[in-house]
Amino acid sequence: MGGKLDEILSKEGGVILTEYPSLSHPERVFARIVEGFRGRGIRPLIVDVFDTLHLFFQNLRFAGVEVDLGDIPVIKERGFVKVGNVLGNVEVIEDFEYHLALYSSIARKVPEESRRHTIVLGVEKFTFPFMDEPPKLERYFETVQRRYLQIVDKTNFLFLNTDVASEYLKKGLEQDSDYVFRVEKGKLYSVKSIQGGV
Amino acid sequence: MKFSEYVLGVKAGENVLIEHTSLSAYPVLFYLIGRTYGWGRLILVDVIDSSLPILRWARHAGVELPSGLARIKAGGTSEWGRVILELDPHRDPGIFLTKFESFIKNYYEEHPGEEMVTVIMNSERLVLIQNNRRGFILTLTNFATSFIGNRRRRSFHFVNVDLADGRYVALLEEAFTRVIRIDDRTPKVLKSPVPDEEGKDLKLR
Repeated sequence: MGGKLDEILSKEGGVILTEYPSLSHPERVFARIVEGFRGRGIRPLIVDVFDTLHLFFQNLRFAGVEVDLGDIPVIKERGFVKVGNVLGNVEVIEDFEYHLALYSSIARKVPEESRRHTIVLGVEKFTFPFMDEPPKLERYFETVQRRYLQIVDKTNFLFLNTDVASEYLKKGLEQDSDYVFRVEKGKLYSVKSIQGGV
Repeated sequence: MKFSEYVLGVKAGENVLIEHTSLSAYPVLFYLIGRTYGWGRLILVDVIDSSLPILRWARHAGVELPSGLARIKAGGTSEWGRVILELDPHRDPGIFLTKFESFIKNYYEEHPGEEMVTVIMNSERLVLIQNNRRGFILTLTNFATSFIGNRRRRSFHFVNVDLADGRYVALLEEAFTRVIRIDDRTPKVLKSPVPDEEGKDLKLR
């Protein structure tokens, strides 16, 4: 895996999209990110859609990699397997306004120190029921996703399964990300970097 | 490596996806799983008589499947095996999954000290009869995924990729710890917790 990720991990701010096919090992990249944060004394917030954290955790475990997530704050969005320090579960997804209201009531419980570093797992599962409907997907981008683009001092890692995501979802997220990585098997490739220069 | 040796390396708590086609020799894999672990540990979740091509294969191949095999019958008309639970997949899928879950948890409790081997045969049929509804695909995948790590069992999910919704398959591939594909007579490892195993062919005998 390249040094690009380490470089991003060593500084503040950025939207970083990690794309992976189903038969690759995104969980290993995830473990590296968590360790990278830990190395700097940061406990990130994990947003876990439909138990993606559970399946990352289990895939790591059966590969013999133990990642300590016990003290990491987690906001769940649907799903029922609890991994990490679960602060609450946002059961509503498709009504975006209602979703945001429920999300913010749980987000208040996130410790101050974890608010500037977030890892979102399972974006494709959040949007799965409507990702082939551009009008609804655009509303999702506007109401939920782009809300975070205005905050420049936050580091936000997004994981996206590209075998599940629609092309529209993938390209929309790529446009709004500062960095884009692709996972192929165990390797990580950088395909977009905001530091391209003028 | 032989397929039967490979499956013995599957640890308690794992979920294995076996992708097959309508033409491939997947009944052999079912037979080898049963023979390797011992039929007494097996629970077959048989979705709308998915097991019938396996029974017919066994007859032609001259091998015997035990008549007392524990079977969860999810739809279909056949009466073979020892039916331990009957479910109607055409009714509300939520009730179907709840009934399955409470039954299987009781079953584990009633068989303490035994590590069960669950074989789910062609769950994509449940998705197809729900007209590939997105919400149901997520619910079913999430349901199957929630068992990963439960060391009372390990499971093998046979999915016909000629008929299954591609995204259903993709969600299972992402979640499960191992993926094996059989297009003809040679199973191939597509995903494994052991990186070196990926891409390797397995031998049937």
